[in-house]
Amino acid sequence: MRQSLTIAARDLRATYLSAFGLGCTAAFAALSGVLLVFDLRGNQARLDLWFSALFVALAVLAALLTLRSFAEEERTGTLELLLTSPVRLWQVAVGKLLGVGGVLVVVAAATVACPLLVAGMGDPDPGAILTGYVGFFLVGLGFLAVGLAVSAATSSPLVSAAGTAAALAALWLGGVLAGGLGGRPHVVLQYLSPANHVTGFLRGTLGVTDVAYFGSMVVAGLAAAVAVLRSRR
Amino acid sequence: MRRRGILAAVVLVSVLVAGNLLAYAHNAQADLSAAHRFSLAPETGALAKRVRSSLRIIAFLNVSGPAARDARFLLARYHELNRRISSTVLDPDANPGEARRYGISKYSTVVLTYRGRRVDAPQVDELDISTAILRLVRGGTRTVCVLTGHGEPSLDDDSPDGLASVGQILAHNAYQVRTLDLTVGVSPSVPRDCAAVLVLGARDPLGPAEVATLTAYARDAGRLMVVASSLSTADPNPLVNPWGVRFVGGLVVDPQRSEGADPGNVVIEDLPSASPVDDGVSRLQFPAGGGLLVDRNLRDGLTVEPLAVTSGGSWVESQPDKEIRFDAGDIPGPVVVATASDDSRVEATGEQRIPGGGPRIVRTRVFVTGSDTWLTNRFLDKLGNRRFFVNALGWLTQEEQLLAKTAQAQADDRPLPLTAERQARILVLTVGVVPGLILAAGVGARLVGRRVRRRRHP
Amino acid sequence: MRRGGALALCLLALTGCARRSTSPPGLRQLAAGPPSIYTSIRVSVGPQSADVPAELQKSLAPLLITRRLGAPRNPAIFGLDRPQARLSYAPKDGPSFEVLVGSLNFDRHFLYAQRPQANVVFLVPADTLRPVLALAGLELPPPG
Repeated sequence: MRQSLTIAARDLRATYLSAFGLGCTAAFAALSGVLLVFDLRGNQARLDLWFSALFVALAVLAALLTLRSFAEEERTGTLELLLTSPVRLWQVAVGKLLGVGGVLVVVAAATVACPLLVAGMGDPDPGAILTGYVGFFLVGLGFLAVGLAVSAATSSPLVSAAGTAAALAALWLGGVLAGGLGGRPHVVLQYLSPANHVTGFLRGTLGVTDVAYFGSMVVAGLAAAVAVLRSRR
Repeated sequence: MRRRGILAAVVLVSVLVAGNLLAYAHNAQADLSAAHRFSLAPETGALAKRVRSSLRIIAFLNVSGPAARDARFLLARYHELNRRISSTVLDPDANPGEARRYGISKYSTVVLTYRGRRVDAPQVDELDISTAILRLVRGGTRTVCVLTGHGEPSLDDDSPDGLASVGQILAHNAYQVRTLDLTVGVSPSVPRDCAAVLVLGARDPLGPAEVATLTAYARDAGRLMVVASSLSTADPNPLVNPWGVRFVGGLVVDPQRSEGADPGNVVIEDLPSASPVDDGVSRLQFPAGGGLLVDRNLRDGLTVEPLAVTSGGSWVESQPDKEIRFDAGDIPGPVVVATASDDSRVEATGEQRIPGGGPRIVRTRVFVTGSDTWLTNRFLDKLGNRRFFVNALGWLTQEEQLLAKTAQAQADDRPLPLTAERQARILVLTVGVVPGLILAAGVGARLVGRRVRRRRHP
Repeated sequence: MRRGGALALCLLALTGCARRSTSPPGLRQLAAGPPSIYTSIRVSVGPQSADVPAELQKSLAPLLITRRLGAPRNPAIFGLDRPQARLSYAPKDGPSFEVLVGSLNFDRHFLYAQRPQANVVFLVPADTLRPVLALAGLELPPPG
């Protein structure tokens, strides 16, 4: 685990010593403010629409953050060093996830101004804000894990980002397609879509199914990343 | 090597699928929302525990809409309370055979079956489903008889002074309401299937024959609710005196505990009884009420409980149309404004449950309040009034957990007008200040790092 | 930097599409329109059949569906094993095709319909087909 933490710390430092990390965080913070203004147009001190929009924006963020995880490293030649070091592949994958997860924490902190502002002006439901942020982390980690798997499969950061976005869009849209099907395919596609697992977070409840879903996404993403790295070693 | 990788992948996918299936089957929820809006009411929990064998709920809904998702969420909560309660959401369009079998003719119909009985709920809503479960568990509906013919407010009247809210409570607790007019007919009597008789705010006096009929009913293990008023000419004393209660009329005023500027709009905070009628009630609002006196020693076997008492600074104003001031002729507080009388006695004959008859125990229950305004649509949802009425009804009819809660408010109203000033404030802070601070922190860190490196390697 | 910006824009556009596409798809067609692309449209109920007049053809071409139910395990439950009516479309260009009309749904507001050999069942408003089926002598009961 120590090796994973070392990799995570290194990646986190590298991200925030570069304009890319600062730019992403600042841009996401600004986007959250713009989304807040749009979503408060219902004249209610409620943040469910805001969180809902942030979850979608997390897909974009995940694609951008994970392009540097493996694809960028391969492009610059540092991935080979990492993979040949005496560190297990799962430790590398976990370390990478923790690294981008750390960025997610900083990004979340940067958005906290929004609920604080709403609390200062009105009376939002604090429970729903808490579960919104729990959902933010779960959704974010799940998307980041998918991004890591895609990033491990390519040496092109552009392909990594586009591939991550495509994979997440496919998962999301699967739930929409499910509406046109019947029987078991409908149930399965609906279940696989992240859109059907965020409602609880938005309204103030934490459900075992939703936590299990995003936990599974993290595990599956990490396992896929390890498998891809192993095949490329 | 490759085979091991494939095997590992299969095992992992199987574990993930199994884990998700398990989570889907036992989808427990933690409700952190304000007032636990998405959790079922405690009464629903108590009701669910009364289900002793398999209870099946089928909700006929369009499964691709958000209503189906919400329905599954709600029905899963019932399953959490009692594993014997199972549910399915069926699309009547995709399952026309099932829809035909159950005789479904509109979306959102919910069919509940239990021990060979069936009850339908009109929609997937906690109150409707809980009412249906109550009817199933009880084995049917019970009848409550409401006295009419004396200017009483109507249970269909949804104006502020009407009793439509009371009517809704009766409906949601699976009571059938029958109006009882004892002023017509040759020798009118109270029907045998009346689980309780409610005298709710009579404005005109009851005739001697009516009083005699109701008293005879009460004496024969009857259950009577008398909600009296000083604003009417109807004197409730002939009805309530036999049960240790005397209505003194006047106007109860409590300058220390009243709502707004009106000392007659009394707030009750003393509910001293251990009676189940006071369960879960901490305060009441009793406007325009008269006082009650309690005679606890009327006879053996009769227990009279003061349920709600005003503060020591209150009194019964005998001349409310003149100045409200305590003077001679007024009755000093604390004043009792609600009572519960329970009279158990043994009669020599009349037992029907054993062959040959024998002595039987007769139990009468009478609930009296000196105000009738607290039950109107305007006041029923003030403080603990609704709960108090539901408790009284449950105590009279000897039902355990009745449903007091109104339809759970899914709409959570938290107004926040988005003025131009607020909009500007949000944008300046979130688009300007916060990103600016982040970038400044980054630039600052780089400058510091550069300076440190220059010092190390000049 | 430029590449990153272009990438971010593409991804944001993709996100926008994803967001919009979470709203339900609009109505779709069991038969294309307008009526002018067909030589004729006929309705058949058992041995009886009739040409659909021009004023009613507008509601059959395009024949809009309300809902799509997916592949049925047993078409008989929708009355599509022995359809109670058939709509025959003869396009000016292209082969003719049929639409099979099954039974009414549970609340009698819709009819089940299908293209032969297709693996999907649709719901079509009963009000749309009621006057058309009456031409061939089939009177549908009113909605429930």
